[in-house]
Amino acid sequence: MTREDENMIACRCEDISVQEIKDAIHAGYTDLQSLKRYAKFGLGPCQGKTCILLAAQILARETNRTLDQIMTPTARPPIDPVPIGFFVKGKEADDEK
Amino acid sequence: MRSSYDCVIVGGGISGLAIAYELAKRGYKDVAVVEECYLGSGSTGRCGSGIRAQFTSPDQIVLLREAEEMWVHMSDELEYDIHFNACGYLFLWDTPELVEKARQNVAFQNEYGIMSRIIDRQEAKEICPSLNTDSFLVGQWYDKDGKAFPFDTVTGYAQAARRLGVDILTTTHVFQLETTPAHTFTVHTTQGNIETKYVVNAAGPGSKEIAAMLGVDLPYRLDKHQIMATEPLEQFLGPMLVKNSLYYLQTHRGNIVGGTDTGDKNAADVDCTFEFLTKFAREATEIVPRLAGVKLMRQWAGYYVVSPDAHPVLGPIDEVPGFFQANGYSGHGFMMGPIVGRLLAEYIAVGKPSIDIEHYNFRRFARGELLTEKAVIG
Repeated sequence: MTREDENMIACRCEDISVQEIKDAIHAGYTDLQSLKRYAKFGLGPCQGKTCILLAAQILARETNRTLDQIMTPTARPPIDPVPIGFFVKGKEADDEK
Repeated sequence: MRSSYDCVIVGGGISGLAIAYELAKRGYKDVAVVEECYLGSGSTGRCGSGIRAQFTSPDQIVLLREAEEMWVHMSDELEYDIHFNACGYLFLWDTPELVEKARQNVAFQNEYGIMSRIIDRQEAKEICPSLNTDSFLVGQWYDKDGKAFPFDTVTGYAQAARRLGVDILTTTHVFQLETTPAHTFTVHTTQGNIETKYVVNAAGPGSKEIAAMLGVDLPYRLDKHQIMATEPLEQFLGPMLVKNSLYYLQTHRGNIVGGTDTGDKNAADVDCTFEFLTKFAREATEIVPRLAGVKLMRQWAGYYVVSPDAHPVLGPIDEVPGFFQANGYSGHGFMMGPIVGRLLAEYIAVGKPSIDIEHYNFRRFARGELLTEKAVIG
C-alpha cells in the first residue's frame, strides 16, 4: 500500500482512515470486536456494511492471519436504519393491512 | 501470563478492571485479569451508560454519591478520556401517587446530601426543550448524575492497569476453580493453570457459574434487558430521561441510547425482539415527539444480574477465605464500577474498605438481612 492509500477513509460514516485502523491494531487491538470499539468504525448508519470487511482484511494482513481466522462482530437489527415513528404502530400497522 | 499471581480477577468488565487498577495503584501489582471474550464484552459494553445517585436505598446512595465524585475526575485519573458528563437525570412522574412517592424520594436523598429536587413542567422544559409537557406532572431532577462512555472507560482502566504492571488476558476461559491445602487457589484456564492467593469473581452474568465452582450458590436471576441506538444527531437532548421503566440519553457521539423493560425474567438468551422496539418507540415518542423522525440504527440486549434485594454482593465469602465477590448489581454495575474497584482493592490490599460494606456481604441472604431498593430502571 502507498502512503496515500493509508489516508483513505475506510469507514465513511465515522470518517475513520486506514491509518487509524492500522494504528489501533499496532496498539494491541488485534481482534475485530475490540478494534471496532476502540477505533470506532462500523458503528454508523451503514452499520459496518462498507467497512467491517475492509477492516477485517487490514487486520488479517497486519497480523498475518487469514480472513476466516478473524471473528466478525454480531450483526444487529435492523438491517437499515428505520425511523422510530414506524415502530410506534408496530404490529397494529400490519393488522390494518 | 505467569503460572502464579497474588490475585486473579475473573471478568474483564468495568468491575474487574477497576479492581485491578486500584490494587496496582496501591502497589499491589501481582494481579491478573482473566476475560473469556474481549474486554467489556459482557454487561459493561451492553449497558445504558447512565450514572446516578438518585436511589431509594441509603446503601446505594452512599456508594453512588462517592462513585459520582470519582467519575468526575476519572478521565484525569486514567489519563484517557472516558467522556464523563454530568448531564443530570430527569425522572418524569405522571400520576399523583408517583408524584407523592417522588417527593418522599427527594426528601430522603436530600438527607444524604444528594440534592435532587422536584421541578415543575416549565423548568423541565428549560432543561430538556424537546419534552412534551403534557406527558408528565412533575420532574425529579439531579444535576450531578450523568453518563460516561463504557468502552472508553474499559480502555482507560485497562491501559492504566497495564501501565502499572497488571496482566490482562482476553479470550481466556476459566473452567474450574479449586482450593488447595495451602489455602490458595488453582484457577484452571484455557491458557493453563494459575496458582493464586485471592480470586475475585467479577464475571457479571457468569458470576453464578464461577461461584458454583467453589460451592458458593449466588442467588441470582438473569433478566434480559433490551436497548437500542439511533443514528447520531447534533446535541439536543440534554439530560438522561426516565419515565417508569423507560430511559434514554444522548451520548457524546450524538446517538440516542436507551431502553425499556420487556419483562424477560430468567432469560436464556440475549436475542432482541420486535416487541421491544414497539414498546420503546411508543414510550420514547410520548415524552419527546420529535424522536419519531429519528432513525433507529441498531438494537441489542444484555443481562441484569438480579439479586434478591437488587443490591450487589461485595466482599469476601466466609466459607471460602480469599474468594471475593463483586457482582449481582441488578442493572447498576457500570455506574458503581469506580467505587467498587476502590473498596474491593482496599479489602484485598489493606484488609478493610474505607466505606463499610459489610451489609453487602453474601452472608446477608442466609441471615435474612436483605437491603431495600425500589428504583431499578429499564
